[in-house]
Amino acid sequence: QCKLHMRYQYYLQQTSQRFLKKRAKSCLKIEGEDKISALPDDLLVHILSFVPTKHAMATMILSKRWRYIWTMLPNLTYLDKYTHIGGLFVKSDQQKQPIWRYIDESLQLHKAPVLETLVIGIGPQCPCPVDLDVYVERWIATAVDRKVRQLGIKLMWSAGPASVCKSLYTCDTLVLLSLCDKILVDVPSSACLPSLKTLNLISVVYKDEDSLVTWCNTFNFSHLMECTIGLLYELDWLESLMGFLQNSPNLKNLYIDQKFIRLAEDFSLSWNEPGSVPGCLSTHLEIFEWEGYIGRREEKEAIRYIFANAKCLKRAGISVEPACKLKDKEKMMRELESMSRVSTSSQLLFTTQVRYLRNLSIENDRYE
Amino acid sequence: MSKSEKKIVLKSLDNEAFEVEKAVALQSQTIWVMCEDKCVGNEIPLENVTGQILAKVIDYCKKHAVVDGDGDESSEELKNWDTEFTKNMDQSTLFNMILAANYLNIKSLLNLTCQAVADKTKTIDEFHTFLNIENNFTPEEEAQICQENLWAFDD
Repeated sequence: QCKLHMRYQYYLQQTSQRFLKKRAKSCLKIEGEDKISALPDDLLVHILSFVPTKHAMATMILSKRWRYIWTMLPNLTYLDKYTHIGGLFVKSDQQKQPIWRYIDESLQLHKAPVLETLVIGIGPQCPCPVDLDVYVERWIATAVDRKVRQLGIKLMWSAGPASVCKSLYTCDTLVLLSLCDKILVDVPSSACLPSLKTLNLISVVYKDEDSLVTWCNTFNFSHLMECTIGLLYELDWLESLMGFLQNSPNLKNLYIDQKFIRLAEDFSLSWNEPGSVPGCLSTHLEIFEWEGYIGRREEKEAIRYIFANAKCLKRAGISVEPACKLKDKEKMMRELESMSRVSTSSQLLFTTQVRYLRNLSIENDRYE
Repeated sequence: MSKSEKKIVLKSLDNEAFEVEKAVALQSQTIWVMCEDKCVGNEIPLENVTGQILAKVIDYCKKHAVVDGDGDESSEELKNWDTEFTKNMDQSTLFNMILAANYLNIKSLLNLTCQAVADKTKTIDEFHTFLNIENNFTPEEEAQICQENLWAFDD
């Protein structure tokens, strides 16, 4: 550990010398007038908001005028560039400082009272700190303190899932929440996200089935308009889904992705028609997509129920699990086509026509 | 509404008068608020914008007033027009356009002009060379900032 630390310090020394040397050259060429620096702080911050976060932060070295401008940036995007680029892994440089250190140090210096957007994407090649939970919790706590409106976190590192600080589940400013991969979702019963409009939970790890049930049945998603759920492992979730629909009266778009799970034949899935029709089905749901459908009886019943009650449905997209036999696929598609849809003008699309789950890029989804 | 009520006169800092359609001028929130205020007549004095810059702002507003509400094709065309519009602006013009867009409160124009500055400054070097920002740190100060914030400079 100590040796590693010394090597890291040495690397930093080298980098700083190299940087300063290179910089000395470029500063010699300046001749024209500098007008932009005379703009008021808020306009300089606005200019920097169009520059990638890392470059924007580096402007602290430009001149005294620019020293602290970056600390007022309302949007921060940290993406690990050492993940993969076009399928090729960028040469992993062990000495390069890991992204979590950069995120942590810069967030501590950041001063803007409101953080509109925080996006963190850590790739599988990132060397993990031992106490990574502490870091992730600190970042999220900072975001919540700064009244974050859009939060996207995707952790793909090799370590286990990181837990999220509890204050996230009661953040009343949050409008968009995307959690992907190595994140442990453990929803307290006190949870409440009153401003949430878009929720994406992709391949996250639920602490236990209860946590998912809590999330779906007790949460009040009063303003939620769009939701994507990507399941990573077998869960008896159809009833939770109905509970979720009951609690989301304004839901317009629902995307379900279970293409990554292989349901065991004997895994029991339960389905019971809800006592009353969820409000969003009668008045709001327009787009419903399901990827990785395998046509189990309970799944079929759930879809039949949605088709029969979604009065505003414009488009249903079902992509049948590709591993199914062609004959079975055709049968499934015929079955789905024969189900009556209360919204007679709605379209039913299969595999190839489905828009597919929107590429869930959490990059720079600027909030206007 | 009579023809004259649909027009409005904008007067620049250097007393240049521009007669424009109300719909064009009202893209500026500042002008919109002034028009709501009954005290202002048909002529609106803009004390922070020169005629040269105001002419450009009006060009922008005219273009955006015409195309708004049309289909996708025109929005593509509009984007290209925007790119051309800022392409050859020098630093001084961009500076004045940013200030004008901010004062007149035309959000899309403010974004466009700030984006244009950002596009020309992809690296720290370009900040110095394109914007002529002079490094006024002493070598010691510079080394210290670099040391303390190496996470920002390790490319």
